[in-house]
Amino acid sequence: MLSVDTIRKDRSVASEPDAGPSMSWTQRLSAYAAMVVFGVPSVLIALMGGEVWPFLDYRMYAEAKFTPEVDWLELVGRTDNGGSLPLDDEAYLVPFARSELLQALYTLDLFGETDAAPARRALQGLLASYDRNRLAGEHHGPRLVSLEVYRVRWHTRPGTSPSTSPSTSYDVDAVPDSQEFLQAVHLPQATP
Amino acid sequence: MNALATRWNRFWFAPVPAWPLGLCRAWFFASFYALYLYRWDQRVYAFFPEGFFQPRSFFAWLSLTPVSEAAFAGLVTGFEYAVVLSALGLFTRLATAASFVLGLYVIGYQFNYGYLHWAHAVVPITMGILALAPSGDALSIDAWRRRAKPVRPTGGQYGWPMQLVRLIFVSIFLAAGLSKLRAAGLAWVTSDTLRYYILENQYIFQEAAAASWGRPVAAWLVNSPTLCRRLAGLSLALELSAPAALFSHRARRLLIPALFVFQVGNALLLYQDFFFAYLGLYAFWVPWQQVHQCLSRRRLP
Repeated sequence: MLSVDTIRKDRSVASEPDAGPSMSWTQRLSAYAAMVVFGVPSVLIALMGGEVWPFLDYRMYAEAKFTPEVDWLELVGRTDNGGSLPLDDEAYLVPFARSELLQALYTLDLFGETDAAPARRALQGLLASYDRNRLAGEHHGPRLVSLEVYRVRWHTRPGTSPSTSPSTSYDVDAVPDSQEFLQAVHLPQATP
Repeated sequence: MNALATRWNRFWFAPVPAWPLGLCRAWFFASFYALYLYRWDQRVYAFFPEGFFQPRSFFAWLSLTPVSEAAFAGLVTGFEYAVVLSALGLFTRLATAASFVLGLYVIGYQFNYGYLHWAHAVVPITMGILALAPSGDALSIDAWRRRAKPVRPTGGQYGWPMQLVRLIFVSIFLAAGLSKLRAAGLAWVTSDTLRYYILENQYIFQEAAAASWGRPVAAWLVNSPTLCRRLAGLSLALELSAPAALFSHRARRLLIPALFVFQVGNALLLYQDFFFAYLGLYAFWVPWQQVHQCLSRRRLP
């Protein structure tokens, strides 16, 4: 148990200006190794920017945002009979959270500016994963034969417009102001 | 030159007792386990759909490919055990080293799938620092087991790990502040950027927004562009001035609680909850010796 005397002793020792020599050679080596391996890259990346996991420049929300427009994505599944299922339930998307999945799609050149193939492969993987999890009883969604991606936009209106969607209770508009079809993928055996 | 060396040694190697480092080790690992590993089973990350894998950092350099579900589950189990043993201080050196290596892989693995949780990165870094430090010399089962031959209770070897974690902590906020200046300049403060981000996140994170206690505040705040700009200016100033907490006790008393409130604000207004990683780090800023002294004085008649 720590006593007041111990603490007083601790404080008196802590006030000594230079205690470096009291450390052994290996202890000092460990300290400098930690500074070089962890301290230097953290500070350098903080000052210069960049990313080498786990050293990051923490640039989330760093860009200036000059318009209240929200530009986002929506995934919609299609059933055999043409019915639609918005894939917003995270049980369908495990292990992604919905926002993570959509961010991941953004990084795969979903708009096809250079090569749309990786995004297409990822969407096919997502549809196959949905079907595999459904057959394994991991969720109770309907069988989907295709998956469609839309670009959705809202012009946000702070403090106005209660939801126009009966299925939600948010006071942001659940229904976007515009919706643009980007691409669709099909289950191999269900290709039209 | 001599004065510089003295200041260097005083900053990094001033002799301090072993127990605050032991306490911080236990608190860091226990809070990370309770707030993160216990709540979210990491094994699900073996089930990412095909086609999303985009290796980053050492995964790319070493050409590491996705592992099997069984192998990943084994690594996660090893990581969980290592974190618990590190918190308890049993086989501390081995457990903290294993936590670092496995954490680097297990936590880093999900970043190969196209998105980045910024808060996670500091976790393996802190684990690595604690693995290189004698963090099991006090308040650990290891220390209790070898009580017959006590280790040196005070020394510079217990001070540098605390200082290094503090340096990492402030560099995160500095990095965030400098990133804003690089990407947006002062427009980050003078425009409606923060206001629009608060608004945007109400759409992007609709479920989190609906469940958040901060949502009414966010809804009120976005109606006041001036207040949002002031808040943006305050946030940026706070991030950029965080390193002062390393060198000035007076600044530390102001900045560290302010950064805590800032992170609470992020959780409530932007729905970005970083506390599973950062709650453990705040322990490294607590002046534990003074706290103990105050508590001991109160107990005295």
